[in-house]
This record gives sequence, structure tokens and C-alpha cells, in this order.
Amino acid sequence: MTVSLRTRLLGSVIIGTTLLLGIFCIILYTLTRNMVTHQFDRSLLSTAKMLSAVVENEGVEDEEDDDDDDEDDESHERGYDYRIASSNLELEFEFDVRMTPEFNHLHGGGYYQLWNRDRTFTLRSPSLGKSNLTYFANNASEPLYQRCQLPDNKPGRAVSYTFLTAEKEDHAQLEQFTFIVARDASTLYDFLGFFRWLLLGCSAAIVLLSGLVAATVARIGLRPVHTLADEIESVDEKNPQHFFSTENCPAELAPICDRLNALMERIQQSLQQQRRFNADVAHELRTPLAGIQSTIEVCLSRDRQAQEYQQALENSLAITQTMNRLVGTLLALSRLEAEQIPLETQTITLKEQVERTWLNFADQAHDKGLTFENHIDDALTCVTDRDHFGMIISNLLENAVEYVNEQGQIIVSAKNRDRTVELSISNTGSDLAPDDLEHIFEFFWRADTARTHTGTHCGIGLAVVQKVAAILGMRLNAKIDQPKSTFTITLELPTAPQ
Amino acid sequence: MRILIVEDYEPLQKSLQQGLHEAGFAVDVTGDGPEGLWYAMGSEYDVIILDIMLPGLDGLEILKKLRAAGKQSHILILTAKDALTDKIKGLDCGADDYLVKPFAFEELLARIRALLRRRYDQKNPDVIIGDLHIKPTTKQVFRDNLPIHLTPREYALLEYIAMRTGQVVSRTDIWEHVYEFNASATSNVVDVYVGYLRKKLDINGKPDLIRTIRGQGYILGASS
Repeated sequence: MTVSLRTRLLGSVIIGTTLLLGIFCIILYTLTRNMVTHQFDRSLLSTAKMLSAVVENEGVEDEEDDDDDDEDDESHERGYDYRIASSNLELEFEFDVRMTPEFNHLHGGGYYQLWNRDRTFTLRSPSLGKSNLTYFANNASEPLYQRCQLPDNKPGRAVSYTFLTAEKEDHAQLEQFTFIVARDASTLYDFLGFFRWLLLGCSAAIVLLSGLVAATVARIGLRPVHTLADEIESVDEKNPQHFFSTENCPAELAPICDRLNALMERIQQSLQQQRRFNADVAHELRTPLAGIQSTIEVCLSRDRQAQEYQQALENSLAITQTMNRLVGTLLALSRLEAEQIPLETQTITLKEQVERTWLNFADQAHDKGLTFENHIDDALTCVTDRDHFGMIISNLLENAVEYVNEQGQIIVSAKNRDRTVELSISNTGSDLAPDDLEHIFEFFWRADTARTHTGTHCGIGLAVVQKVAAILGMRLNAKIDQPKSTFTITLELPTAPQ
Repeated sequence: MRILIVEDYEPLQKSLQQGLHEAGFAVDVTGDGPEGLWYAMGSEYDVIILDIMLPGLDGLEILKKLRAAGKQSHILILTAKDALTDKIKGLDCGADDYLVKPFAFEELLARIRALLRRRYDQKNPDVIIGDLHIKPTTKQVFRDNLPIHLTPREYALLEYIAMRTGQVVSRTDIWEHVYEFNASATSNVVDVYVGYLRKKLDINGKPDLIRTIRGQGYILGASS
């Protein structure tokens, strides 16, 4: 079973749509995700930058710096400052808490955590409480972004911002710090999740719909094909009178329709030829049978002399002989059609073949006072099946002898052309008109006048000869020339072996 | 009765001619189409046996021309073409009968007899006029149940006159229907044969069957 066009179309559409949609969705999703994430990350970064800007390196804690306590109190109201126990680094970190409420309340949505380079010191936002943000950084000065798990187990995104800050007193000393700022990104991730499902859903729906549309379109579109197939099926082989209408045929099927019509016509012609042939064969067989039956019945209708009986028997016998030849020719013809005869090729000298065949007709020719001339060059040969070739020559010579006028001439000649040899047999005194030439190769055709020539010669000869010639790869041509109504039949023999 | 055979196949032509002649018919033959037409137009044949495949002029063409010219001869088509369409075509063109070759000669004779009955409006195969009984199938003649022996020509003459019982039959009519084309003609051959016929028929002093109508011809049987 071959795959149907419809299935193939449908499959292709679905696969194509799926692929295209898949690629499209991936691109769209990626772009959207990058865009919204980028937006989120940018705000994270600006927050981190802002926070890092307000970090002041107080330097190492000094016991003498008591007057800083006042400052400390002030700043304690506004923000926070921290002291590290271990490394004696004192950082001042001031910002207006009213501006960033998210960092103030526990699990407020915004978190920050500051580390120094070797992570010995850290600073947390109030929202963090006792928890830590996941530390991540690299040595490059570019900020890093990452998804993270927030202390309240919500999904968040964090930026890791590494910066340098100089000591307040001594600007030469630069310390590296890393700020990790994280925010609740659940909205973001919810949106992305939703978007993902939306895209998938839409894609699935589109694929499904396009499948349906493709199926419908395919069915409608392929309808002319089905119609044509039905029409073809409805053709009766025995009576192919149907012709396919090319009016409603789409452009792609039109050549098929035309070809079908041409084939149908050929079949019809062939059948007609067959019928004509059968009718002619029937006629050609029935006529001599009627002759025999009539002759014998009339003879037996009353008592007669021995001589009359003898005459009737002789007449009947002559007719049976004609019928014999006819039946033989018909059998040969049907065997040829079935191509059951194997061909054995050999090299044949043309002149010699013609001479040999002519011997069969020499007596008859003598009776008619004919002149026979064989002008074929001694050297000319051909390679073909001897029996069949002999049959062709014999038939052509027989025809010539049959139709030549009394005291007429029969001339055989050969012309050596490029890759063929043209063997011609001419006889004078032909009764044929130029119009007849197109009919002479038809079965059972006889020129009217020839019918009354002898009642026994049957016109099947040239048709059979042509068929045999075709099998041997040879062609027959005929023409009539005016001086003495010379009829010439030419056999084209290929010289290369077949 | 006079028959024309138009058939080009010689063996058949010859055997038909012989057989029909021996059956007592006046037979003309030709194997040529135009010649057949010429013959048929020129004489009043009782039956024409016409082949279809003829040289020069198709049998059906001849048929059409004859019918168009108003010829009343009964035409039997004798041909190898046996297809239904051929038969219908032949009959519709004006043929009276259609016989396919090969055929039995006896069948041809029977059909010819049927055509002749039709020609002379006789339904009864046997012709019975008074005490004269003619059987065309066997060519036997009885008068008063006594068999009468006639030569073929005498029989043909009697048959013709009997078929036209009640009508006056002229010498020309007899000549046309009982003698073939190249029969040797003497001016009173008809009268001579009628004489022969009368001698054989009028036996035992029975009344004359064939009466002479002066200036017109002969008549057999009561006038119609």
C-alpha cells in the first residue's frame, strides 16, 4: 500500500507547522524571558549600585575615635552602621530607610548582603534576619545575576556586584566588597511560566487547527484526482468510447487527461482494426467455403456423368488449396503477433537469395513471357534470419509475378546506402493507382480490378510481409512510376547486425 | 422464372448458375457491379441474387439504385457478412431476403421459391387450378391426379402462367420471365412451347387449360 497523498500532505503540514511553531515559540520565549529578566536585573543592579555608593570605609576601628559615637547615634536613626569584631574594619553604611521599605521588614521582598573579599565580614539587610544569601561572585568586575531561593522560600533573583571602596582617611587603601542584592521574582517567574504554557497551548491549538484545515483542503483539493480516478475506473475496456473532459481538469491533471484521451483513441482504433480484420478474415474464409459447398451440393443434386463429378471435385480441391494457404498465412500471422518464433541470424548474400527464390517462379514467368533481371551486386550481404527473409523475398516476387502484365519485366536491384541496403523489386504493368499505395499493406485489401484477375489470390500477402519485415528490423516502401506503370517495392535492410 | 446472379467469386458463380439452371430457371450471371446494375435495370428479373462485396460498385449501392428506380424484382442478398448490423442494413435498404455464406444450396432454392410466391401473390406453395395441381418444390405436375411429365422449359412456362392465374400473360411477358438473356430467339418460340404444353396437359379430352386471348396472350384459369 502506498501512502496516500492526503496523508502525506496532512503529515507534512502538521510536521511543518509544528517545527515552525516550535522554533517560533522558542525564539519568542527566549526573547521575552531575556527582556523581562533583563529589566528585573537592571533594577537589581541599580539598587546594588545605589547601596554600594552609600558604603563608606571607616577604616580600622580605633579606640580613640569616640567622637564618632555621636555621629553613630545620628546615623543610627537614619541607617545602620556596623562594626566588625575580627578585622577591626569599620564601615559606615547610611541610607534613608524610608526610601527602601523592602529591605526593612523581615521577608520584605528585598534583601541585601555585603561581603568583603575574603568573606570574613558580612552585612545583612534587616529583611534577611539571621539567614544568608547565597554568595556568588567572580573576579571580573561585571555584575553577575542568578536565580536564588529567598529566605521565605520564594523564588528570587540576585545580583552580585563587586566594587572597591577607599578608606575614608587614607584613599590609597582600596578594599573590595561584594554586594548581593536579591528580590522576590515570583511575579517574574510566574509570568514566564504562564507565558510558556500559553505558547505551548497556542501552538498545540494552531497545529491542531492547521491539521484540520490541511485535511479539509487536501480533501477538497484532491477531489479532481478522485473524480478522474472514478472516471478511469468506469471505462469499459471492451467498449472504450469514453473521453475524459479536459474542461474541469486542473492544470496539473490536464496532461494526464490528454494522454489518456490519446491512449483511448489508440485503443479504439486498435479495436476497430481488430474488428475489421476479424470481419475480413471471416469473409475471406467463408467465400471459398461457400464455393466448395455450392459446387459439391449442386453436383450431388442429381445423377451425373463421371466427368462432371471429376470436374466438381477438381474445382473443390483447388479452392481448398487456396484456403490452405490463407489459413497458413493467418497462423503465421498470429504466431508473429505472439512473437513465438525465435530468430536465427546469419549472413546472407542478397543476389544469391533472390536467384534461389526466383527458381520457384521461373516456370510461371516463362508461361507469361516475362523478363527477369537481377542487378544486385555480388558483394552485398545482410545479417538476418534466413527463413523469414526468404519468406519476404518470396512473397514480393510472387506478387510481382502475379500482377505483372504479359510479356512484362521484373527487375530486382539493390542500392548501398549509408547504413542500409535498399533492395527493390519492380514489375511493369501494374493496375494500381497512386491512391492505392496507402492501402496495399492493409489486410485483405485488393485493388478492385485485381479481384477478377484470379478468384484465388488473396490479398493478405503484403500485410504479412510488412509485419515480418518489421520483426527483422526492415522497412517496406512502395511507389508507382509512369513509364509502363512500374510498381516498385523497396525493402530497407540495415547492414549492421540486428 | 428468371434469375440474375451478381457474384464475383467464380467457383460460386459457376455452381449457382448450373444449379439454378438445372432447377428450371432462366439464369443470367455477372461478376461485375456496374454490369449487374445494367442487367437488372434492363430486364424484369423475378429474383436477383446479389453479393455485397463486388468490384466497381457495392452491392448495397446497386440495391438502392434499383429500388429508387422502382424496380420490382425480389432481391436476395447473398454474402459472407453476417453481423446483425449488416443484415439490418441490407434489409432496410430494400432487400427481400438475406442469406449468409456458406449456405446450403437447397436452402437457397427454397428461399427463391418463397420469393417467387410473394412476387405472384401466392400463399399456397402448391398451385391448384381446377384439377391442375403443380408442386413447385418437387416440380411435379398433376392433372386429375395423373402425373404429367414436362421438360424443364415446359415446366418453367407452365409455372409462370400458372402463377399468374387469372391474368392475361403476353408473349413478351413469357419471353422476359422464362428465357435467359442469351437464349436463342425465334419469333414464335413461345407459341411453339405453349403448343407443346397444351398437348401434354389437355389429355383425355379435358377442356383446354390454357386459353388464347387473341391479340393479347394466354390465360390459365378463370379470369379474375
